Amino acid sequence: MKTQIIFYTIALFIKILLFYNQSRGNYLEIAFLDVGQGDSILITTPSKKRVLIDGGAGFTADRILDSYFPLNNCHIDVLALTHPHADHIEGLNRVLDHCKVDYIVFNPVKYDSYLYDNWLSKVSELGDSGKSKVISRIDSETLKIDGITFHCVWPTAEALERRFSNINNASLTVFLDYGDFEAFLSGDAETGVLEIIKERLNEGAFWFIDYPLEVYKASHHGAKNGLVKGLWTKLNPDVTVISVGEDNKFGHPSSDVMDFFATQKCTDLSGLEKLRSLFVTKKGLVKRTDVDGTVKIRYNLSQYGHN
Amino acid sequence: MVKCRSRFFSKQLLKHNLPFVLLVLLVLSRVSGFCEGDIKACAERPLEFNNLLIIQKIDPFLERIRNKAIQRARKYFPSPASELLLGMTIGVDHFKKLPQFKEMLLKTGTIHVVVVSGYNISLVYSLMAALLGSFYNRTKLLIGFSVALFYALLSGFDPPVIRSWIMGSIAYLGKYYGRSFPTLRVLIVSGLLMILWQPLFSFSLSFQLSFCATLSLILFSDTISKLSITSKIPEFFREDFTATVAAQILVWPLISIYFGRVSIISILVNTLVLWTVPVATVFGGAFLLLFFVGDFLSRILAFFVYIPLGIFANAIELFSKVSFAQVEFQFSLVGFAVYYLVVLFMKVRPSLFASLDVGEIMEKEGPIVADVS
Repeated sequence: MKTQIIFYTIALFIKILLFYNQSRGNYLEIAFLDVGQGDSILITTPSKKRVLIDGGAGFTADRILDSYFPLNNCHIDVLALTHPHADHIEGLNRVLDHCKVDYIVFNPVKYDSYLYDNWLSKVSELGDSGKSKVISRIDSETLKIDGITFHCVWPTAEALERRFSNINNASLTVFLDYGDFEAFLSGDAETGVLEIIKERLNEGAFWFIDYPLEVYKASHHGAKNGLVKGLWTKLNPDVTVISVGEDNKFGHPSSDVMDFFATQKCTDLSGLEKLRSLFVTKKGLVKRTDVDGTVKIRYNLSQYGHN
Repeated sequence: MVKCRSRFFSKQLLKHNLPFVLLVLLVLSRVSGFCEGDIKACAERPLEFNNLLIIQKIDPFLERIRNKAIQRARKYFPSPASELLLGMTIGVDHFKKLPQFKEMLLKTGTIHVVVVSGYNISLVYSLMAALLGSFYNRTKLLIGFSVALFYALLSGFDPPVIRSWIMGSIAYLGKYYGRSFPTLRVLIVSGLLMILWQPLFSFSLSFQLSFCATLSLILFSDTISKLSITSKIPEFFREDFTATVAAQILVWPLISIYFGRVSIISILVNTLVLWTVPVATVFGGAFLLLFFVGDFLSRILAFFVYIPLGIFANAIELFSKVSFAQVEFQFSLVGFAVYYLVVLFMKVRPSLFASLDVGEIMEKEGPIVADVS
């Protein structure tokens, strides 16, 4: 019993150390969590506010989140759902069970599924009890948290008026902007939506973007219908991240998409000037969660790196 | 000499083994009659007890209790602590929602701790004995049996739990009548009775693992505890080391034959982390029972349960990263049979039938009783 108490105390001490370690460092971190086949992105702001976009399938996102909150003190400042497919929503339902969530952001599109019904009832319960503030419509708006701006570029107000035949195209799509650092996060938006974004980009609608982009999340887990080459070339990202499960039944990422990324590698080295981190290697880098595990990209206004 | 030996065997056969032989024959005829000669098709049939009247009657009630426990665990614990807690206490298996963590458990040979085992039943019996005084009273004995049966049903009525409930019941019935039965016999009779009742048990992996782990513990615990290497293990980990090694002797060939891989760090990991399991089970079970406690107090209590669950989960994640954690190895059926025969032959001695206290073994078997569901 005495030894058990000693071990118990040591474990508690380690947890407190981990907690202390988590609260250090003033950087923006975007972590593409390795949740298997699905999407889950955890953004940590310099003052340690957390934004969770999607939760993947199953409860793996919650398991990984546990390492960010070693004292069972989960607190998410903003929790966003891009669209209600199971590989994006299921993990969020689990997070809502026990994490304190300040803001819940989503578009209440029409979609029939048990998981989505579960989400709607949980969100409404949290909203009614005042535990969370619910932003249940977001189109072409800008959200700011801790100096980081999220420019929501899709779905537009007009698009939201329609019923989406393909719910992937209802995906909340954002440009994240923090100083010189920009990231494009597009859920599972497919080519139709990405073409519209490309056109609006060419029209100069997204004045806030400084090219080239730093981080690009390959839409729809690297599927062929999740890539518009013109958009990717225009954004010219330093790092492209594919959130995908090992040996998934959908065959993601598509070999065409991977071939395209391979041919684009090291085409433009000008962006390297600003890469002063030890970690960043070369332009056009592609990271996959099924191969690299959780992909973390850190930026502290003067440098960024990933592992 | 021959005459003498023949008389000895006749005596042994009549006194000890004849009823066994008859029971074995009865079981064999029951299995063969049940399967109608097609063993392969029989082995593929699912093991279900939904047709049992008692389950039909109380299942909606049990389901409500399970759902309450799931809600409470998920509200106060993150994953995988909540799934570990639910698995350890009421046998709810939600690890399909955590495929990567389940793989880690398999890799480190620790999947057996997240199911309800004989250890839980022995805990229930101990709790009832503490509450009721003793079982030397027919009413108390019946209450003890009923509560343990209720718990066995609540935790899914899986083969390890049924076996453990039968063994515990025989042990306490023995105590009531002032008798002590040889543990080995109790185990074998329990196993045979289960197969006699439901022949599909004999094809259930969870039954086979549970039975072999307990058999292995009974046969090899003493031998392992006397090894010189065991005395070098720090005292705090020694019991878990002995139990893990002893149980593995008959369990690893089964795992190899079913999964085609064997965890080679299983003994190390189990020895290092098993101490967290009783702590988490007892405190976690108490936490789930205290559903009437307010939110603030629940959060404080949850923190103390979270620590052992967190240690367990972190250790599993850490050890699963070891590149040589498991090796691909599949026993052939012949190799499997030869291994078992050699191991059991080496062990067979007259002392095997010495009288042991079942309760002691029930406590010993604890978290070792294996299951892969």
